[in-house]
Amino acid sequence: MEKTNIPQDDLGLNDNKGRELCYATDENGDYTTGLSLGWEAKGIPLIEVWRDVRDTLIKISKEIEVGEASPLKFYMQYNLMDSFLVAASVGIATWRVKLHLMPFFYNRMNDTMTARYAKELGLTVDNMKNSNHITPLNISELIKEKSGLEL
Amino acid sequence: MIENFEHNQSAHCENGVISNLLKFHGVHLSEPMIFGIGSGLFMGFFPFLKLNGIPIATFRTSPGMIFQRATKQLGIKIRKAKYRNPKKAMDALDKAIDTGIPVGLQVGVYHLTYFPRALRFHFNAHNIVVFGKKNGMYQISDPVLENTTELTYNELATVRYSKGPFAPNGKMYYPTDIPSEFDLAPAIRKGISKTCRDMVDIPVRMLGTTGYKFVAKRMRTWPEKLGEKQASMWLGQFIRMMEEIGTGGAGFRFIFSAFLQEASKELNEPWLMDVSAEMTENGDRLREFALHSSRICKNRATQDVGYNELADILVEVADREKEIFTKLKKLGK
Repeated sequence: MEKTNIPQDDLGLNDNKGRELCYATDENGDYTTGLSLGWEAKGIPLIEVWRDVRDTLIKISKEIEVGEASPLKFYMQYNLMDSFLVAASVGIATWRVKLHLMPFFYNRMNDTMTARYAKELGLTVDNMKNSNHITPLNISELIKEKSGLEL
Repeated sequence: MIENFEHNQSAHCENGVISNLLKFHGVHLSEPMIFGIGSGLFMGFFPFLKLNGIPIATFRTSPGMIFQRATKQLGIKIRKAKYRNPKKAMDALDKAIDTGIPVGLQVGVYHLTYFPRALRFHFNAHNIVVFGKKNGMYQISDPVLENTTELTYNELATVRYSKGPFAPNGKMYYPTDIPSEFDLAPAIRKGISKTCRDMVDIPVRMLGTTGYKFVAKRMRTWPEKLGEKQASMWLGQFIRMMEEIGTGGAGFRFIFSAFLQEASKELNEPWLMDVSAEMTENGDRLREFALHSSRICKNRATQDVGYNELADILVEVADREKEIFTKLKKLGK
């Protein structure tokens, strides 16, 4: 790549937090560095990932509405975690987290356990217990706030 | 507050931290130099290791390896520590800063408040330098940022104890003993020879230059096996591994080319310049690959370059890299 060809595609991914360093050659073929605002080729897949997160959240909120998923599943996805990561953060076994993704086991959970989840997922215990407030959420807005992207 | 610490932006966090820490101690080595001596270049594809349900591809050695190899080759002694207790970890950090040494830390990215929001994923092997404390705020030099920044006690404690794969567990490190004189040439030779061994000599198909062919073969079947949507997600993750913050472009191939140019001057081996140019060409080919792939991600199935053509590019890159590293092997002897 030549220095003059360093891409400057601003897709809103850098959140006004500055540019990144790239290595490129100058007119003599010697290596030098330059700053880049971003590149379309790597920005697009990242935006796709966020779209995917949004779509999955919408799907989960529908599942919660009909009682097929527990609020934990929603918060887990919102925090971009999987059950292994949640288990590691809370300090319990992965299979227990997987059970808690089902409404039956979720509703049987005691207060201490709920509090532990709430702490790791950045929620209040009330939020965790009450699944009614998930369905009216505007998920597109939430993700826009979280990622800083116009999807 | 450590006054004479100089923040230099770099493409990759690990190289950058080593380079910045060593500069403070009077050793001036550039980022590509550290990357080369630490034999950072690699290629691997792991169908059984998954991130978000998508296999991991890597273009570098495992986290921490560059650091370990580079300091070993240069004969620098490092003090490393991990702590069970976050309070103890923070106390140890305070103590080290008080003695006037900048300290390297391993942190998780997800809770890093100064990072662009879209890039905050659960990635635990990021490296930063803390070079002081002013008004209760820790002064942070994150090598991938243009300028220095700051974090509060709680923010820093959280990122030092992020959980999951490669969990940092409060890891901190700083050089304790630096030899007064360096002989760079043997370190460079060793670095290159190790890279060659990693790239060409490992008899596992997933690793080294054969890794490209391994992915290429599988990539051809992705659209059928996974369906268009999932296939494009898999392809997307592959490009992100190659181009996302920290690679300096084309999966570290450009940094490596820059290293070869420096090595050529240092070792007085003019032919390395030509190898560097070949590597750059290779990197450009990978950039093309990324560009085509991103188009597939954007508008699925309406393009003239499909998965087969992409796989062909990878096979071509594999052959070229094999040639390059077989040539470079001569240096080690």
